[in-house]
Amino acid sequence: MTFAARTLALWLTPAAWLALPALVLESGPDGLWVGLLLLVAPLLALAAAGERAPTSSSRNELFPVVAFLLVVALILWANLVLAGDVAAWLGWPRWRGIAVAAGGAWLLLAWRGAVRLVPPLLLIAGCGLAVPLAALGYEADIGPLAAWGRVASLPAFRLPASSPWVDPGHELRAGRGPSSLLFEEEHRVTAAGHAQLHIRAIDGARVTESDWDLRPGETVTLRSGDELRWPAGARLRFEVGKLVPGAPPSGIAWADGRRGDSTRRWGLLLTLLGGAIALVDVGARPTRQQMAGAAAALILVFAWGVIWAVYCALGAPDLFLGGVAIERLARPPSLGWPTGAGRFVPLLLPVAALASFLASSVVLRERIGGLDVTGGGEIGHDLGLWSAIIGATALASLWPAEPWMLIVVALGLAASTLAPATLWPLPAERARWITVAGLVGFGIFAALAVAGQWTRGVEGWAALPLTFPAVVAAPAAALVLGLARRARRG
Amino acid sequence: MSLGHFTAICYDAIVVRLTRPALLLVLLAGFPLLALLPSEAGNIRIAGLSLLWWYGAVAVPALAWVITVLLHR
Repeated sequence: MTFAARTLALWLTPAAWLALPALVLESGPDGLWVGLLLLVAPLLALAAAGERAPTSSSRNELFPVVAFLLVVALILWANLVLAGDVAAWLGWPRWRGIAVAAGGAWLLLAWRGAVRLVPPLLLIAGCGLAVPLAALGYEADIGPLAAWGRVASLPAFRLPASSPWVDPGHELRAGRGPSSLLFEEEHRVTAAGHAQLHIRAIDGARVTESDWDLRPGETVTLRSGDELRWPAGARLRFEVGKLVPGAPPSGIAWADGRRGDSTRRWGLLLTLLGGAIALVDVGARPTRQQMAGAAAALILVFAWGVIWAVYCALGAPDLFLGGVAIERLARPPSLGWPTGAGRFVPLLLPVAALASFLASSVVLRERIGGLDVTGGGEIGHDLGLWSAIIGATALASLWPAEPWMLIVVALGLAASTLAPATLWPLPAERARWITVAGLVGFGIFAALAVAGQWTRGVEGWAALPLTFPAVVAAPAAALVLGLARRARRG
Repeated sequence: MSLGHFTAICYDAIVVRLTRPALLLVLLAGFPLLALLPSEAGNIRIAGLSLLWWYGAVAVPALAWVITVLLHR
Protein backbone atom coordinates (compact mmCIF):
# COMPACT_ATOMS: atom_id res chain seq x y z
CA MET A 1 0.00 0.00 0.00
CA THR A 2 1.52 3.34 -0.95
CA PHE A 3 2.06 6.02 1.64
CA ALA A 4 -0.14 8.54 -0.19
CA ALA A 5 -3.02 6.05 -0.45
CA ARG A 6 -2.78 5.23 3.25
CA THR A 7 -2.74 8.91 4.25
CA LEU A 8 -5.68 9.74 1.99
CA ALA A 9 -7.78 6.81 3.16
CA LEU A 10 -7.03 7.51 6.83
CA TRP A 11 -7.81 11.19 6.69
CA LEU A 12 -10.30 11.78 3.91
CA THR A 13 -13.32 9.54 4.27
CA PRO A 14 -16.29 10.46 2.02
CA ALA A 15 -18.01 12.33 4.87
CA ALA A 16 -14.98 14.63 4.94
CA TRP A 17 -14.20 15.08 1.23
CA LEU A 18 -17.84 15.47 0.21
CA ALA A 19 -18.37 17.97 3.05
CA LEU A 20 -15.66 20.15 1.48
CA PRO A 21 -17.67 21.26 -1.60
CA ALA A 22 -20.84 21.37 0.53
CA LEU A 23 -19.23 23.78 2.97
CA VAL A 24 -17.65 25.90 0.20
CA LEU A 25 -21.05 26.09 -1.45
CA GLU A 26 -22.78 26.92 1.80
CA SER A 27 -20.50 29.64 3.08
CA GLY A 28 -17.81 30.54 0.53
CA PRO A 29 -14.61 31.55 2.35
CA ASP A 30 -15.63 29.75 5.58
CA GLY A 31 -15.92 26.54 3.58
CA LEU A 32 -12.62 27.27 1.87
CA TRP A 33 -11.07 27.50 5.34
CA VAL A 34 -12.35 24.01 6.18
CA GLY A 35 -10.86 22.79 2.90
CA LEU A 36 -7.52 24.34 3.78
CA LEU A 37 -7.57 22.62 7.16
CA LEU A 38 -8.39 19.28 5.52
CA LEU A 39 -5.41 19.85 3.21
CA VAL A 40 -2.79 21.28 5.56
CA ALA A 41 -3.60 19.53 8.89
CA PRO A 42 -2.37 16.08 7.76
CA LEU A 43 0.72 17.65 6.16
CA LEU A 44 1.45 19.40 9.43
CA ALA A 45 0.89 16.17 11.35
CA LEU A 46 3.24 14.31 9.00
CA ALA A 47 5.84 17.08 9.26
CA ALA A 48 5.64 16.93 13.05
CA ALA A 49 5.76 13.12 13.01
CA GLY A 50 8.89 13.22 10.86
CA GLU A 51 10.68 15.24 13.53
CA ARG A 52 9.87 12.84 16.38
CA ALA A 53 11.64 9.65 17.30
CA PRO A 54 9.23 6.73 16.86
CA THR A 55 7.96 5.49 20.23
CA SER A 56 5.98 2.56 21.42
CA SER A 57 5.32 3.75 24.94
CA SER A 58 1.55 3.48 24.58
CA ARG A 59 1.54 0.03 23.05
CA ASN A 60 0.96 -1.72 26.38
CA GLU A 61 -1.87 0.62 27.36
CA LEU A 62 -5.49 -0.24 26.75
CA PHE A 63 -6.80 3.32 26.77
CA PRO A 64 -5.39 4.49 23.39
CA VAL A 65 -6.92 1.40 21.75
CA VAL A 66 -10.34 2.06 23.29
CA ALA A 67 -10.19 5.77 22.43
CA PHE A 68 -9.17 4.95 18.88
CA LEU A 69 -12.01 2.45 18.55
CA LEU A 70 -14.43 5.19 19.65
CA VAL A 71 -12.99 7.64 17.12
CA VAL A 72 -13.15 5.08 14.30
CA ALA A 73 -16.71 4.11 15.27
CA LEU A 74 -17.74 7.78 15.01
CA ILE A 75 -16.05 8.09 11.61
CA LEU A 76 -17.77 4.92 10.35
CA TRP A 77 -21.08 6.21 11.72
CA ALA A 78 -20.69 9.52 9.87
CA ASN A 79 -19.98 7.72 6.61
CA LEU A 80 -22.83 5.25 6.97
CA VAL A 81 -25.21 8.16 7.70
CA LEU A 82 -23.95 9.73 4.48
CA ALA A 83 -24.47 6.43 2.61
CA GLY A 84 -28.09 6.43 3.80
CA ASP A 85 -28.57 10.08 2.87
CA VAL A 86 -27.12 9.56 -0.62
CA ALA A 87 -29.34 6.51 -1.14
CA ALA A 88 -32.43 8.50 -0.09
CA TRP A 89 -31.37 11.36 -2.37
CA LEU A 90 -31.03 8.94 -5.31
CA GLY A 91 -34.54 7.64 -4.62
CA TRP A 92 -33.61 4.39 -2.86
CA PRO A 93 -34.69 3.36 0.62
CA ARG A 94 -32.29 4.76 3.17
CA TRP A 95 -31.42 1.35 4.60
CA ARG A 96 -30.24 0.10 1.22
CA GLY A 97 -27.40 2.61 1.01
CA ILE A 98 -26.34 1.79 4.55
CA ALA A 99 -26.52 -1.95 3.86
CA VAL A 100 -24.37 -1.69 0.71
CA ALA A 101 -21.66 0.37 2.46
CA ALA A 102 -21.69 -1.56 5.75
CA GLY A 103 -21.89 -4.91 3.92
CA GLY A 104 -18.90 -4.00 1.74
CA ALA A 105 -16.86 -2.98 4.78
CA TRP A 106 -17.80 -6.22 6.54
CA LEU A 107 -16.81 -8.35 3.53
CA LEU A 108 -13.40 -6.68 3.43
CA LEU A 109 -13.07 -7.41 7.14
CA ALA A 110 -13.33 -11.09 6.44
CA TRP A 111 -10.45 -10.97 3.92
CA ARG A 112 -6.95 -10.56 5.40
CA GLY A 113 -5.41 -9.34 2.14
CA ALA A 114 -7.92 -6.48 1.82
CA VAL A 115 -5.18 -3.94 2.38
CA ARG A 116 -3.89 -4.68 -1.13
CA LEU A 117 -7.20 -3.37 -2.48
CA VAL A 118 -6.72 0.12 -1.01
CA PRO A 119 -4.74 1.72 -3.91
CA PRO A 120 -7.09 0.30 -6.60
CA LEU A 121 -10.13 1.41 -4.59
CA LEU A 122 -8.72 4.92 -4.30
CA LEU A 123 -7.90 4.90 -8.01
CA ILE A 124 -11.56 4.09 -8.72
CA ALA A 125 -12.58 6.88 -6.33
CA GLY A 126 -10.20 9.31 -8.08
CA CYS A 127 -11.65 8.47 -11.50
CA GLY A 128 -15.15 8.80 -10.03
CA LEU A 129 -14.32 12.33 -8.96
CA ALA A 130 -12.31 13.44 -11.99
CA VAL A 131 -14.61 12.24 -14.80
CA PRO A 132 -17.82 14.03 -13.63
CA LEU A 133 -15.80 17.20 -13.00
CA ALA A 134 -14.27 17.08 -16.49
CA ALA A 135 -17.69 16.35 -18.01
CA LEU A 136 -19.23 19.23 -16.11
CA GLY A 137 -16.52 21.65 -17.24
CA TYR A 138 -16.91 20.45 -20.82
CA GLU A 139 -20.70 20.83 -20.76
CA ALA A 140 -20.54 24.23 -19.09
CA ASP A 141 -17.85 25.28 -21.60
CA ILE A 142 -16.19 27.46 -19.00
CA GLY A 143 -13.00 27.12 -16.94
CA PRO A 144 -13.03 27.02 -13.12
CA LEU A 145 -11.62 30.55 -12.78
CA ALA A 146 -14.21 32.06 -15.14
CA ALA A 147 -16.94 30.00 -13.44
CA TRP A 148 -15.95 31.47 -10.06
CA GLY A 149 -16.04 34.97 -11.57
CA ARG A 150 -19.51 34.33 -12.98
CA VAL A 151 -20.85 32.97 -9.68
CA ALA A 152 -19.25 35.81 -7.73
CA SER A 153 -21.06 38.38 -9.86
CA LEU A 154 -24.53 36.76 -9.84
CA PRO A 155 -27.13 39.28 -8.64
CA ALA A 156 -29.14 36.41 -7.05
CA PHE A 157 -29.46 32.62 -6.98
CA ARG A 158 -32.69 31.65 -8.78
CA LEU A 159 -34.44 28.31 -9.23
CA PRO A 160 -33.59 26.84 -12.67
CA ALA A 161 -36.25 25.21 -14.86
CA SER A 162 -34.32 21.92 -14.73
CA SER A 163 -34.65 21.70 -10.95
CA PRO A 164 -36.58 18.68 -9.62
CA TRP A 165 -38.13 21.08 -7.07
CA VAL A 166 -39.68 23.01 -9.95
CA ASP A 167 -40.97 20.06 -11.93
CA PRO A 168 -42.19 17.47 -10.93
CA GLY A 169 -41.56 18.40 -7.29
CA HIS A 170 -39.20 16.64 -4.89
CA GLU A 171 -38.92 15.61 -1.28
CA LEU A 172 -37.34 18.41 0.73
CA ARG A 173 -34.97 17.53 3.57
CA ALA A 174 -33.50 20.34 5.64
CA GLY A 175 -29.80 20.71 4.98
CA ARG A 176 -27.25 22.34 7.23
CA GLY A 177 -28.45 25.51 8.93
CA PRO A 178 -32.01 26.54 9.92
CA SER A 179 -34.79 24.01 9.43
CA SER A 180 -37.19 26.55 7.93
CA LEU A 181 -37.40 28.37 4.60
CA LEU A 182 -37.31 32.15 4.73
CA PHE A 183 -38.80 33.74 1.61
CA GLU A 184 -37.36 36.97 0.22
CA GLU A 185 -40.09 37.52 -2.40
CA GLU A 186 -43.61 36.33 -3.14
CA HIS A 187 -43.47 32.62 -3.93
CA ARG A 188 -46.17 30.06 -4.69
CA VAL A 189 -45.44 26.64 -3.16
CA THR A 190 -47.34 23.64 -4.49
CA ALA A 191 -47.74 20.30 -2.75
CA ALA A 192 -46.53 17.43 -4.97
CA GLY A 193 -47.94 14.99 -2.42
CA HIS A 194 -49.96 15.34 0.76
CA ALA A 195 -48.21 17.97 2.90
CA GLN A 196 -48.88 19.72 6.20
CA LEU A 197 -47.13 23.09 6.20
CA HIS A 198 -46.65 25.61 8.97
CA ILE A 199 -46.31 29.27 7.96
CA ARG A 200 -45.09 32.11 10.16
CA ALA A 201 -46.05 35.40 8.53
CA ILE A 202 -44.72 38.73 9.74
CA ASP A 203 -46.80 41.80 8.88
CA GLY A 204 -45.19 44.83 10.48
CA ALA A 205 -45.28 44.17 14.22
CA ARG A 206 -47.92 41.43 13.89
CA VAL A 207 -46.86 37.79 13.68
CA THR A 208 -49.36 35.23 12.38
CA GLU A 209 -48.87 31.48 12.63
CA SER A 210 -50.98 29.21 10.42
CA ASP A 211 -51.11 25.52 9.48
CA TRP A 212 -51.99 24.36 5.98
CA ASP A 213 -53.07 20.84 5.11
CA LEU A 214 -52.43 20.62 1.37
CA ARG A 215 -53.51 17.86 -0.98
CA PRO A 216 -51.47 17.14 -4.14
CA GLY A 217 -51.70 20.09 -6.54
CA GLU A 218 -52.89 22.60 -3.94
CA THR A 219 -50.83 25.72 -3.48
CA VAL A 220 -50.06 28.30 -0.84
CA THR A 221 -48.56 31.73 -1.54
CA LEU A 222 -45.85 33.07 0.72
CA ARG A 223 -44.82 36.72 0.86
CA SER A 224 -41.46 38.31 1.49
CA GLY A 225 -40.44 37.69 5.12
CA ASP A 226 -42.68 34.63 5.55
CA GLU A 227 -41.17 31.51 7.06
CA LEU A 228 -42.18 28.00 6.04
CA ARG A 229 -41.76 24.83 8.09
CA TRP A 230 -42.51 21.44 6.66
CA PRO A 231 -42.60 17.85 7.97
CA ALA A 232 -39.85 15.41 6.97
CA GLY A 233 -40.61 13.77 3.66
CA ALA A 234 -42.95 16.45 2.29
CA ARG A 235 -42.81 16.66 -1.51
CA LEU A 236 -43.02 20.26 -2.65
CA ARG A 237 -42.86 22.22 -5.90
CA PHE A 238 -41.43 25.73 -6.18
CA GLU A 239 -41.67 28.42 -8.86
CA VAL A 240 -39.08 28.61 -11.60
CA GLY A 241 -37.00 31.80 -11.70
CA LYS A 242 -37.75 32.77 -8.10
CA LEU A 243 -35.06 33.39 -5.48
CA VAL A 244 -33.88 30.15 -3.85
CA PRO A 245 -34.97 30.25 -0.19
CA GLY A 246 -31.89 29.58 1.93
CA ALA A 247 -29.38 30.79 -0.68
CA PRO A 248 -26.98 33.70 -0.04
CA PRO A 249 -28.46 37.06 -1.13
CA SER A 250 -26.12 37.24 -4.15
CA GLY A 251 -23.00 35.79 -5.69
CA ILE A 252 -20.99 38.68 -4.30
CA ALA A 253 -22.23 37.93 -0.77
CA TRP A 254 -21.28 34.25 -1.28
CA ALA A 255 -17.77 35.04 -2.54
CA ASP A 256 -17.05 37.62 0.18
CA GLY A 257 -18.42 35.48 3.01
CA ARG A 258 -19.65 36.55 6.40
CA ARG A 259 -17.50 38.83 8.49
CA GLY A 260 -17.56 38.69 12.24
CA ASP A 261 -17.25 35.56 14.34
CA SER A 262 -13.78 34.22 13.57
CA THR A 263 -13.67 32.04 16.70
CA ARG A 264 -15.14 29.11 14.76
CA ARG A 265 -12.15 29.21 12.43
CA TRP A 266 -9.64 28.92 15.28
CA GLY A 267 -11.73 26.22 16.97
CA LEU A 268 -11.81 24.17 13.78
CA LEU A 269 -8.07 24.71 13.31
CA LEU A 270 -7.22 23.23 16.71
CA THR A 271 -9.75 20.41 16.39
CA LEU A 272 -8.72 19.27 12.92
CA LEU A 273 -5.02 19.71 13.64
CA GLY A 274 -5.25 17.64 16.82
CA GLY A 275 -7.35 15.05 15.01
CA ALA A 276 -4.78 14.80 12.22
CA ILE A 277 -1.90 14.39 14.68
CA ALA A 278 -3.72 11.51 16.36
CA LEU A 279 -5.03 9.87 13.21
CA VAL A 280 -2.25 10.28 10.64
CA ASP A 281 0.55 8.93 12.80
CA VAL A 282 2.91 7.23 10.40
CA GLY A 283 5.15 5.52 12.93
CA ALA A 284 8.18 5.64 10.63
CA ARG A 285 9.73 8.78 9.10
CA PRO A 286 8.29 9.37 5.60
CA THR A 287 10.68 9.95 2.71
CA ARG A 288 10.62 13.07 0.54
CA GLN A 289 8.94 11.12 -2.30
CA GLN A 290 6.27 9.81 0.05
CA MET A 291 5.56 13.29 1.36
CA ALA A 292 5.44 14.68 -2.20
CA GLY A 293 2.93 12.01 -3.21
CA ALA A 294 0.73 12.49 -0.14
CA ALA A 295 0.75 16.29 -0.49
CA ALA A 296 -0.06 16.10 -4.21
CA ALA A 297 -2.97 13.71 -3.55
CA LEU A 298 -4.40 15.96 -0.83
CA ILE A 299 -4.09 19.02 -3.06
CA LEU A 300 -5.91 17.22 -5.90
CA VAL A 301 -8.83 16.36 -3.61
CA PHE A 302 -8.90 19.93 -2.27
CA ALA A 303 -8.91 21.36 -5.81
CA TRP A 304 -11.68 18.95 -6.82
CA GLY A 305 -13.81 20.05 -3.86
CA VAL A 306 -13.46 23.76 -4.52
CA ILE A 307 -14.03 23.49 -8.28
CA TRP A 308 -16.99 21.12 -7.81
CA ALA A 309 -18.60 23.63 -5.45
CA VAL A 310 -18.11 26.50 -7.90
CA TYR A 311 -19.62 24.55 -10.84
CA CYS A 312 -22.53 23.48 -8.62
CA ALA A 313 -23.18 27.07 -7.50
CA LEU A 314 -23.25 28.10 -11.16
CA GLY A 315 -25.27 25.24 -12.63
CA ALA A 316 -27.36 23.99 -9.72
CA PRO A 317 -28.29 26.88 -7.42
CA ASP A 318 -31.27 24.84 -6.19
CA LEU A 319 -28.72 23.00 -4.03
CA PHE A 320 -29.13 25.91 -1.62
CA LEU A 321 -32.85 25.17 -1.11
CA GLY A 322 -33.43 24.76 2.63
CA GLY A 323 -29.68 24.78 3.33
CA VAL A 324 -26.97 22.76 1.63
CA ALA A 325 -27.19 19.04 2.43
CA ILE A 326 -23.98 17.07 1.80
CA GLU A 327 -25.64 14.21 -0.07
CA ARG A 328 -26.96 16.57 -2.76
CA LEU A 329 -23.35 17.19 -3.81
CA ALA A 330 -23.06 13.50 -4.72
CA ARG A 331 -25.53 14.09 -7.54
CA PRO A 332 -26.36 17.77 -8.07
CA PRO A 333 -29.98 17.91 -9.23
CA SER A 334 -30.15 20.35 -12.12
CA LEU A 335 -26.73 20.16 -13.78
CA GLY A 336 -26.51 19.53 -17.49
CA TRP A 337 -24.89 16.12 -18.08
CA PRO A 338 -23.74 14.56 -21.37
CA THR A 339 -26.28 12.33 -23.12
CA GLY A 340 -25.75 8.78 -24.46
CA ALA A 341 -23.08 6.89 -22.53
CA GLY A 342 -22.55 10.12 -20.59
CA ARG A 343 -25.78 9.58 -18.69
CA PHE A 344 -23.88 7.22 -16.41
CA VAL A 345 -21.46 10.02 -15.42
CA PRO A 346 -23.57 11.34 -12.49
CA LEU A 347 -23.53 7.85 -10.94
CA LEU A 348 -19.74 7.87 -10.78
CA LEU A 349 -19.64 10.13 -7.74
CA PRO A 350 -21.68 7.82 -5.47
CA VAL A 351 -19.48 4.95 -6.71
CA ALA A 352 -16.38 7.01 -5.84
CA ALA A 353 -17.77 7.63 -2.35
CA LEU A 354 -18.39 3.91 -1.85
CA ALA A 355 -14.88 2.96 -3.04
CA SER A 356 -13.33 5.62 -0.83
CA PHE A 357 -15.33 4.44 2.19
CA LEU A 358 -14.28 0.81 1.66
CA ALA A 359 -10.62 1.85 1.41
CA SER A 360 -10.93 3.96 4.58
CA SER A 361 -12.59 1.13 6.51
CA VAL A 362 -9.60 -1.12 5.76
CA VAL A 363 -6.95 1.49 6.58
CA LEU A 364 -8.63 2.62 9.80
CA ARG A 365 -8.67 -1.01 10.98
CA GLU A 366 -5.00 -1.36 10.06
CA ARG A 367 -4.25 1.84 11.97
CA ILE A 368 -5.80 0.41 15.12
CA GLY A 369 -3.96 -2.84 14.46
CA GLY A 370 -0.75 -0.80 14.78
CA LEU A 371 -1.62 -0.21 18.45
CA ASP A 372 -1.86 -3.93 19.12
CA VAL A 373 0.12 -5.14 22.12
CA THR A 374 1.40 -8.15 20.18
CA GLY A 375 2.53 -5.98 17.27
CA GLY A 376 0.79 -8.33 14.87
CA GLY A 377 -2.18 -6.06 14.26
CA GLU A 378 -4.64 -8.72 15.39
CA ILE A 379 -7.11 -6.24 16.81
CA GLY A 380 -7.56 -4.81 13.31
CA HIS A 381 -8.82 -8.21 12.11
CA ASP A 382 -10.97 -9.23 15.08
CA LEU A 383 -14.09 -10.43 13.28
CA GLY A 384 -16.35 -10.29 16.35
CA LEU A 385 -15.23 -6.83 17.45
CA TRP A 386 -15.48 -5.23 14.01
CA SER A 387 -18.73 -6.96 13.16
CA ALA A 388 -20.17 -5.45 16.35
CA ILE A 389 -18.80 -1.97 15.50
CA ILE A 390 -20.01 -2.05 11.89
CA GLY A 391 -23.38 -3.47 12.96
CA ALA A 392 -23.89 -0.89 15.71
CA THR A 393 -22.88 2.07 13.53
CA ALA A 394 -25.07 0.79 10.68
CA LEU A 395 -28.02 0.58 13.07
CA ALA A 396 -27.32 4.06 14.47
CA SER A 397 -27.09 5.54 10.98
CA LEU A 398 -30.69 4.57 10.21
CA TRP A 399 -31.55 7.76 12.10
CA PRO A 400 -30.58 10.94 10.25
CA ALA A 401 -27.62 12.90 11.60
CA GLU A 402 -25.20 15.45 10.21
CA PRO A 403 -22.16 13.55 8.83
CA TRP A 404 -19.75 16.48 8.96
CA MET A 405 -20.60 17.22 12.60
CA LEU A 406 -19.90 13.58 13.46
CA ILE A 407 -16.51 13.86 11.74
CA VAL A 408 -15.72 17.02 13.75
CA VAL A 409 -16.73 15.25 16.98
CA ALA A 410 -14.55 12.25 16.07
CA LEU A 411 -11.54 14.47 15.35
CA GLY A 412 -12.19 16.50 18.51
CA LEU A 413 -12.24 13.30 20.55
CA ALA A 414 -9.00 12.14 18.90
CA ALA A 415 -7.42 15.55 19.57
CA SER A 416 -8.45 15.46 23.25
CA THR A 417 -7.50 11.89 24.08
CA LEU A 418 -4.78 10.74 21.67
CA ALA A 419 -2.99 13.75 20.15
CA PRO A 420 -1.17 14.95 23.32
CA ALA A 421 0.43 11.54 23.89
CA THR A 422 1.32 11.31 20.19
CA LEU A 423 3.07 14.68 20.29
CA TRP A 424 4.75 14.24 23.66
CA PRO A 425 5.24 10.52 24.25
CA LEU A 426 6.36 9.26 27.66
CA PRO A 427 8.84 6.46 28.29
CA ALA A 428 7.37 2.98 28.72
CA GLU A 429 7.76 2.97 32.53
CA ARG A 430 5.43 5.98 32.82
CA ALA A 431 2.97 4.90 30.14
CA ARG A 432 0.10 4.75 32.65
CA TRP A 433 0.14 8.56 32.66
CA ILE A 434 -0.93 8.40 29.03
CA THR A 435 -4.13 6.77 30.26
CA VAL A 436 -4.57 9.40 32.98
CA ALA A 437 -4.04 12.24 30.48
CA GLY A 438 -6.38 10.61 27.98
CA LEU A 439 -9.09 10.18 30.61
CA VAL A 440 -8.74 13.82 31.65
CA GLY A 441 -9.04 14.88 27.99
CA PHE A 442 -12.02 12.58 27.49
CA GLY A 443 -13.78 13.81 30.64
CA ILE A 444 -13.40 17.47 29.75
CA PHE A 445 -14.36 16.86 26.12
CA ALA A 446 -17.53 14.98 27.13
CA ALA A 447 -18.49 17.55 29.81
CA LEU A 448 -18.06 20.51 27.46
CA ALA A 449 -19.84 18.74 24.59
CA VAL A 450 -22.83 18.06 26.85
CA ALA A 451 -22.73 21.60 28.26
CA GLY A 452 -22.71 22.90 24.69
CA GLN A 453 -26.08 21.26 24.10
CA TRP A 454 -27.59 23.09 27.09
CA THR A 455 -26.10 26.51 26.52
CA ARG A 456 -27.17 27.37 23.00
CA GLY A 457 -27.18 31.07 22.24
CA VAL A 458 -23.75 31.73 23.77
CA GLU A 459 -21.60 33.46 21.14
CA GLY A 460 -18.07 34.73 20.62
CA TRP A 461 -15.01 33.41 22.46
CA ALA A 462 -17.17 32.11 25.35
CA ALA A 463 -18.81 29.69 22.90
CA LEU A 464 -15.49 28.37 21.58
CA PRO A 465 -14.91 25.60 24.20
CA LEU A 466 -18.60 24.66 24.04
CA THR A 467 -18.59 24.36 20.26
CA PHE A 468 -15.09 22.86 19.98
CA PRO A 469 -14.38 21.17 23.34
CA ALA A 470 -10.97 19.96 22.14
CA VAL A 471 -9.56 23.50 22.50
CA VAL A 472 -9.70 23.00 26.30
CA ALA A 473 -9.58 19.22 26.59
CA ALA A 474 -6.41 18.71 24.52
CA PRO A 475 -4.29 21.30 26.41
CA ALA A 476 -5.55 19.85 29.72
CA ALA A 477 -4.44 16.37 28.68
CA ALA A 478 -1.10 17.80 27.52
CA LEU A 479 -0.71 19.51 30.89
CA VAL A 480 -1.14 16.15 32.67
CA LEU A 481 1.57 14.65 30.45
CA GLY A 482 3.82 17.64 31.15
CA LEU A 483 3.34 17.23 34.92
CA ALA A 484 4.08 13.51 34.65
CA ARG A 485 7.29 14.27 32.77
CA ARG A 486 8.30 16.90 35.33
CA ALA A 487 7.54 14.54 38.23
CA ARG A 488 9.87 12.00 36.65
CA ARG A 489 12.66 14.53 36.35
CA GLY A 490 12.08 15.62 39.97
CA MET B 1 34.31 19.18 21.58
CA SER B 2 34.34 20.97 18.24
CA LEU B 3 32.46 24.10 17.32
CA GLY B 4 31.17 22.41 14.20
CA HIS B 5 29.53 19.67 16.20
CA PHE B 6 27.94 22.24 18.55
CA THR B 7 26.62 24.28 15.62
CA ALA B 8 25.11 21.24 13.96
CA ILE B 9 23.21 20.26 17.10
CA CYS B 10 21.80 23.77 17.58
CA TYR B 11 20.79 24.05 13.93
CA ASP B 12 19.15 20.65 13.92
CA ALA B 13 17.31 21.08 17.19
CA ILE B 14 16.00 24.60 16.93
CA VAL B 15 15.71 25.71 13.34
CA VAL B 16 15.11 22.74 11.10
CA ARG B 17 12.92 20.71 13.47
CA LEU B 18 10.34 23.43 13.79
CA THR B 19 10.62 25.07 10.39
CA ARG B 20 8.14 22.97 8.43
CA PRO B 21 5.34 22.79 11.02
CA ALA B 22 5.81 26.49 11.89
CA LEU B 23 5.74 27.60 8.25
CA LEU B 24 2.63 25.52 7.57
CA LEU B 25 0.92 27.05 10.60
CA VAL B 26 1.86 30.58 9.51
CA LEU B 27 0.55 29.79 6.03
CA LEU B 28 -2.76 28.65 7.50
CA ALA B 29 -3.06 31.57 9.91
CA GLY B 30 -2.68 33.95 6.98
CA PHE B 31 -6.17 33.07 5.72
CA PRO B 32 -8.28 34.25 8.69
CA LEU B 33 -5.96 37.21 9.15
CA LEU B 34 -6.43 38.21 5.50
CA ALA B 35 -10.20 38.00 6.02
CA LEU B 36 -9.90 40.36 8.99
CA LEU B 37 -8.01 43.08 7.09
CA PRO B 38 -9.66 46.51 7.32
CA SER B 39 -11.71 47.90 4.42
CA GLU B 40 -12.38 44.28 3.35
CA ALA B 41 -9.05 44.26 1.50
CA GLY B 42 -9.29 40.48 1.12
CA ASN B 43 -12.29 40.94 -1.19
CA ILE B 44 -10.38 43.01 -3.75
CA ARG B 45 -10.59 41.23 -7.12
CA ILE B 46 -7.34 40.50 -8.92
CA ALA B 47 -7.48 38.79 -12.33
CA GLY B 48 -11.04 37.64 -11.76
CA LEU B 49 -10.57 36.16 -8.27
CA SER B 50 -10.66 37.88 -4.90
CA LEU B 51 -7.42 38.16 -2.92
CA LEU B 52 -8.82 35.86 -0.22
CA TRP B 53 -9.67 33.15 -2.75
CA TRP B 54 -6.31 33.54 -4.54
CA TYR B 55 -4.60 33.00 -1.22
CA GLY B 56 -6.82 30.16 0.02
CA ALA B 57 -7.46 28.25 -3.18
CA VAL B 58 -4.16 28.75 -5.01
CA ALA B 59 -1.31 30.15 -2.90
CA VAL B 60 -1.72 28.03 0.25
CA PRO B 61 -1.93 24.65 -1.54
CA ALA B 62 1.06 25.49 -3.77
CA LEU B 63 3.18 26.83 -0.91
CA ALA B 64 2.15 23.96 1.37
CA TRP B 65 3.46 21.51 -1.22
CA VAL B 66 6.70 23.46 -1.58
CA ILE B 67 7.21 23.63 2.20
CA THR B 68 6.33 19.97 2.71
CA VAL B 69 8.56 18.64 -0.05
CA LEU B 70 11.46 21.07 -0.46
CA LEU B 71 12.10 21.53 3.26
CA HIS B 72 11.94 17.79 3.87
CA ARG B 73 15.17 16.48 5.36
